[in-house]
Amino acid sequence: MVVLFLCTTVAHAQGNSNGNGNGYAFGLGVNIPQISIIALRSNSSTSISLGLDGPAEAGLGATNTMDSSIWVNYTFVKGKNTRPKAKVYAKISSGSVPSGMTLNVEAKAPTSHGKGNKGTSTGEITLTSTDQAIIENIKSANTGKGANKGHNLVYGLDLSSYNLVNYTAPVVLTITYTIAE
Amino acid sequence: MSKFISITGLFFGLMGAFSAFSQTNPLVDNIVTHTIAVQIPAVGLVNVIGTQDVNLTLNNPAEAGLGLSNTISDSSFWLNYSFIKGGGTRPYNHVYAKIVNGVIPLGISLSVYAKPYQGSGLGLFGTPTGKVLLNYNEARVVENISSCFTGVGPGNGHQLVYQLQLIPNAYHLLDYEQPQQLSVMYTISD
Repeated sequence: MVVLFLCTTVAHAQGNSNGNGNGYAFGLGVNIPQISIIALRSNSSTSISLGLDGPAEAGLGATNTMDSSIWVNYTFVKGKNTRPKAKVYAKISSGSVPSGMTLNVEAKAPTSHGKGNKGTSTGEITLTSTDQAIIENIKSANTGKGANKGHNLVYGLDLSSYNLVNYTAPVVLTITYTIAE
Repeated sequence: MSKFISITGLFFGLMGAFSAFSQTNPLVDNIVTHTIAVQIPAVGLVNVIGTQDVNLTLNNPAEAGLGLSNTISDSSFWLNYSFIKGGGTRPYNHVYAKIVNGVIPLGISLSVYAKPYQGSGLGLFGTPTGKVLLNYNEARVVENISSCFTGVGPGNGHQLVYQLQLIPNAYHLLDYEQPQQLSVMYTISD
């Protein structure tokens, strides 16, 4: 009985602190947690490699400049006033793109999996060390979980300044994706 | 009655405890990373594309008393290459040609020159050095190639023009029993 009495006190205390002044009304409310979760998924590994695959035929350039094996999954719950929408940002958080090339990425439109107002692609961006939005206007939504669900990421290594390309030891870049307001 | 109220109180108490937990601990896992390895190996590849073999024959004279035509050319071969420079170690490469098999018949010379680049490649292509006589020493045909690729096949790279030419004042050395099969080797290097 002592325990039960204490619980009742807690309920009333919560109700009062919310300004309802009524423990029962508070009890009916279902609290939806604030959720911002993002994941990258692939059928194999999310560690990928781009560049020149050797040995190439004389006259050929880089033969491995595209990758579309990675998918962005997310779950987001908006707060109507505090954070009505979210975006997914991308940046290079470690490493530098070798000279003569740029690394681009585009998030494709979301698949039909999941629920809610999923985001839209901002188109192809050139990755830098600063966050740039690749998906915008995400409201309360989830994409479904796994590869082939959500937004497909299409990476492209652009070697249009080919004359500046030097051979190097493999350069490892870390790409960071953030879902935030 | 008091028991009923107490149980209700337990229910709402737990709800309150749960909601308080949810509000103070939002589900945030909003950052994720992955890696991309960019690999650019050293590349130096050259190929000659075109007719498998070419025959160069000095034309017969039209009439008695005239000589053989002075020059005969063939431009059916194309030079394709791919090169990736090393910033400090090998900024440029060149393409060399030399005869590796056979002998040029007496009284005539064999030369080659590369035409300026054309095609679907990308990068900084080499510059033709002009007409060079072919012999057993490497002769530079295209020079100062930086990182580039010419594209593959005829129409890409540098068209090669071979010329068979009579050597002045050496007509007496010509011998019709001297047909020769020559092999010419191309090398891309610094």
